[in-house]
Amino acid sequence: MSARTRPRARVLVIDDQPRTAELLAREAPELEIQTVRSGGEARAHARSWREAAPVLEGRRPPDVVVLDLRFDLPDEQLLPDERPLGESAAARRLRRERRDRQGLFILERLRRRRPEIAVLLTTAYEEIPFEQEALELKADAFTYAAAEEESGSGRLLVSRLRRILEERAAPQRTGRFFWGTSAAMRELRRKVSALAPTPMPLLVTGPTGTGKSLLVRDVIHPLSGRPGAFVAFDCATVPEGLLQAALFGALRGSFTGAVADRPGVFEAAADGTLFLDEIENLAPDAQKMLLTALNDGTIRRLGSAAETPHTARVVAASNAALTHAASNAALAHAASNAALTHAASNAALGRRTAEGSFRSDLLMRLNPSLALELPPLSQRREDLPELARLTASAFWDNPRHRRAIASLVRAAGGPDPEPADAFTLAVSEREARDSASAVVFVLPGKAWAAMQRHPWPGNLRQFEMILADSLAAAVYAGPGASLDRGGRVRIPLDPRMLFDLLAGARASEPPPSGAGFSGFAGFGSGSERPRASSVAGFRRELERSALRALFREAGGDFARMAERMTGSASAKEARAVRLRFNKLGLSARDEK
Amino acid sequence: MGVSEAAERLRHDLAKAIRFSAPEVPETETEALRERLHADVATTRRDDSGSQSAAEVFDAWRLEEGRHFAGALGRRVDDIASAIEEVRGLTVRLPSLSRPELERLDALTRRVASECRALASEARRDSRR
Repeated sequence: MSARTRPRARVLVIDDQPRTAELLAREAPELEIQTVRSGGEARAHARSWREAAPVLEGRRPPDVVVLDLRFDLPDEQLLPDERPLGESAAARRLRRERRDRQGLFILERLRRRRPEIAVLLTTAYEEIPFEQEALELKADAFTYAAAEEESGSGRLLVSRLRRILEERAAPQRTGRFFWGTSAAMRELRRKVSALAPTPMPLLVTGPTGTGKSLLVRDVIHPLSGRPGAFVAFDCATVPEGLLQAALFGALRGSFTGAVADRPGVFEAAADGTLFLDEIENLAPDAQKMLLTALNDGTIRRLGSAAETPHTARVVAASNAALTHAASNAALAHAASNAALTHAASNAALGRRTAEGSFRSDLLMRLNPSLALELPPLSQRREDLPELARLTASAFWDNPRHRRAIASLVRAAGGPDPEPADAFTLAVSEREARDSASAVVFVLPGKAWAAMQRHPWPGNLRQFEMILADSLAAAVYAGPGASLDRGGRVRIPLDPRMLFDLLAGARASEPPPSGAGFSGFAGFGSGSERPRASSVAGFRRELERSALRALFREAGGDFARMAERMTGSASAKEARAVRLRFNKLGLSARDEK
Repeated sequence: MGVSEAAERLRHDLAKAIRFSAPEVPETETEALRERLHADVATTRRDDSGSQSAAEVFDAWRLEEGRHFAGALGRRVDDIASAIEEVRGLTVRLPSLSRPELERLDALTRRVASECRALASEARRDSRR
């Protein structure tokens, strides 16, 4: 996990056809197309998982894999079990299915071994038929259909690949905000670059600990180019009675204790960015005033009759729950434009009224359709190695910790660890042995595996805290350092302590967002359990039943279904649910 | 295999491949254009046992799947077939084609790709009805 500069990005092409590899070699000479050895010959593309695996598991794994979806291969080379299928009608069907989705089988296998590698999944299908599965497996999907209109399909693939590599090479931190290289975060980076310089109000959503306030402070505000200050305001911490004064200011004598005129945060953030954190906690009156401020561009100090213009750009943040409210608001908005049926509109409005402590018009003003969604850490596990490395770097850069490390190193007989890159956080014995650094923190492989599996309900904040605590324990209360045969100083991290910290984190987890949802509970009883003549058919029926139950439970709202299924009610997720719903032969009209 | 899946397969095997290396505007250098068309049209699909031209890829597909396509979809397949016939004739003479003929072949690859995409979209729409 030490930082090294790679001269050329490595690309592995997994495709039954050679043309993608040939095109990349010709059009992108700056890339190293990895060679695959098979049957004594070298080739620039792997035709199957069996050919790709040695490269993926080798010491020089690729930075990006370009993976085709459909493979015309003999049965013995097709995942999942690489065995002959025979010539019955069922075997032919199975063969076709395996060929059509072989890329996904390979992707699944690849993810188990190499979660950190970027994968560009390519397909000629206009609608990617397995889009949801591909997204779950953290692949960038590229469809040739969009590319074919003007330029050749391969050339746009090259530019897409270059973009992925550029994004991966971009700094992993901006200020204290951690980007990582997962597909979701690369998409977020693109969105932030486009939206940050605009004056429009923004909404940032995501579970606690994902870095919402860091994103606004360290990324959005600097990118906005606004000369004014960044001012953060936590809507949850100010008592309701003081909110108006805190936000908009107050005149002397306007309330008991107002001994002088006082500006509010809107004025403090003049020509700058006003960050309203946990906006879902804003009281109804304050919501109304905020809406006026956003709509009219004016504010009124408490006790004053005069309205004055303000120049603050508002960025609000909320946990994931608000996204659902936003989707309801969007639905209600659409319904009011007679775009939806009466029944659907009633359902949406009814829900909003039942749940609704937040004004839908205020949400609409915050542009919920452009909301910047920070995914939970559990959905971007491929970022864990880099996050661990940066956390260890931050620990190393702390002067106090560095002094303590230096004394450990001296006690072990090593040289002073001066250069900033002289350490490695190794997550296995093998990495420790291979490290070229003078100081190696050694995290046992099983502890790292547990960290990779952990659900991380507290997200990045919790991950950084637990790793920093483990490093501190190793430096201040560990068994000390030792010099290994390669002259490196090893500082072991205590796996038991790490397991204890993880267990503590697990014990304090909130219940999952879908807990208590009755749609799936009925399956245990057998009353709704579907039947089918084959395992595949049973699986399909099971999925159909689950989606139908979920559809009923969610009142026919796909965003709400998506939220129940994935924790996110984004338009993208809702679309994926709707596609799957239709793909399974279900009809929203029939189910209502 | 259903009509939609068969059309998607044609799109994968032929539409994607027949303009795989094409730039947005045809190459100004005639030999570069000829070289690209050779890769895209004469050796459209390749494996250890050899290569297949675009016309051969289409022939193999039509032999296996063509019977599924009738009515409007059948007429669309016929349109592709007529473009492919012209592609076939030009491919045979590829090494000696003049610049205008190469440009004609390039335009035909665009037409085949576009017709295959249209076929896949229409077949998918039909299968949803």
